[in-house]
Amino acid sequence: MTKEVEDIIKNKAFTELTVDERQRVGELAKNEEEYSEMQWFLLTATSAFESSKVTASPKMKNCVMEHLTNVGEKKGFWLNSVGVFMLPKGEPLFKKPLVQLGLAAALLVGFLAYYNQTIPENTLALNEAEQEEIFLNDPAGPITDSTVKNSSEEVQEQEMEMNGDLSENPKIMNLNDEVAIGQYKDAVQAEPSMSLVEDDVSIPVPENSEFGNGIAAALAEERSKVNSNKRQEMRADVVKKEDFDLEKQMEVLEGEEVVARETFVSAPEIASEELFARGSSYASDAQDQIIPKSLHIERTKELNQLFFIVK
Amino acid sequence: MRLFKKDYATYEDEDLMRFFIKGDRKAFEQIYDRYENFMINFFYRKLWSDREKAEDFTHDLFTKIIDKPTAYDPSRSFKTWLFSVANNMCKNEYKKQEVRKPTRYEIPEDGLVRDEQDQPDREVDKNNFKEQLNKELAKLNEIHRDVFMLRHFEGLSLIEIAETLGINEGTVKSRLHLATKTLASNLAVFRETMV
Repeated sequence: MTKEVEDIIKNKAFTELTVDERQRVGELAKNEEEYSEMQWFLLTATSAFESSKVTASPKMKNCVMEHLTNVGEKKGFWLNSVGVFMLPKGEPLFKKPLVQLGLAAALLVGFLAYYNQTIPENTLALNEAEQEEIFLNDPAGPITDSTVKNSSEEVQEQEMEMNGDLSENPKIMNLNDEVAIGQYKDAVQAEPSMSLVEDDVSIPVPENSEFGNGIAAALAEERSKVNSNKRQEMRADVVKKEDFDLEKQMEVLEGEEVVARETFVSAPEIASEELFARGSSYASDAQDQIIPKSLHIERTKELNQLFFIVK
Repeated sequence: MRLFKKDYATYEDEDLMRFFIKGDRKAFEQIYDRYENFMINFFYRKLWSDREKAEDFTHDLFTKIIDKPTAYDPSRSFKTWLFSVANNMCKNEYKKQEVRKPTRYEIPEDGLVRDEQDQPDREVDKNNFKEQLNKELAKLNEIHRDVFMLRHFEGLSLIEIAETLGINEGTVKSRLHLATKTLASNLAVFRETMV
């Protein structure tokens, strides 16, 4: 309204005004004189203002546009680095890294939530116990109730061996019975052969001859070896025999082997008496002699069979 | 040509700001070209005819728009919003300088003639009129002076002045009439010499 009034005053003369315009202009100029004065003032003031206006330097515009460019680069940096990488255009949805990372995170969270819900606490405790058993595992195998029983039996057997109660062990008893009976039979059968050996060794040779003396010496040496071996074997048999129970001995005595047993019992006694009668030097010589290796092995096996339990 | 390229000169200020908020750089350039001179003159007159200070304030004003374009409310007139922001910047500067009084417009000294004898009589009268106009503007009340300068120097309409200053349009109209009548009557003496 006012702008129109000013435009009217600036552009039109008072005589050119319409009735409507005169009513509107009447706020500022009631008559032609005031209208002309107002018209001159507005035109002069406007020209004075227009001539006094300053213009901005191009440098200021460059500064503002540089600031605008910097702000755009900052935005572009984020768009190019993160946004473009995470959500590349033209790629299928499942190939976008942001979607892939989101799916992976969702799967991980879902798995953890499901795992925590499905496994109760007591199951977790049992699992821990199993892990401890695995941790204590050793080359001998896992420790179970059966192994504990076996180990306790072994300990008992070892204690019995240490205490000398082998005769009470049924395993050892059976083994002793077999060995004793077998050895006994062998001993009974070997007894006459011993006498035969002794008889066979006593070959008649002319006395006082060097050949005869040499043979006699060799024979005596050989006899001493044989006798010493036999004596040691018989002593071992005697030791074994003493371990028999009385009932077993009675059974043996009631059988056909009574005579043989009596003979057997008498044979080592006689042999030992004879050996001891020949002098202690004989026995010492026989013990000091080097036993062949094969004999050693056989005897070791026999002793092992006698005194050690085969597991 | 218009099928492939926007003619930014045909768009309103508000539309250009919408484009700029969406990231259209050229829209801002168009706005800057439209209001660069308006703003520098506004600051120049409001800030004691200090050209350097006026350029600094104009630069700050547009950088604020760049940094935070969403501060503009598209429902408002961009021109009045811009002038209101500039007016608030000047008020803050007055508080800084502890100068309450000089919310006054000054016609720049560049237009004034120093050596009156070398100029024709007509130019001398114009320069005298400018000096006297400045004096009469300084005599006016601040609220009347602001309305008059916004209307006749900045070229704002009554509605725009009302929005810029945050006052009623009727108040603007009455203030403007009073200021115009006062100045016209006080400067009527120059009419006889200049006409």
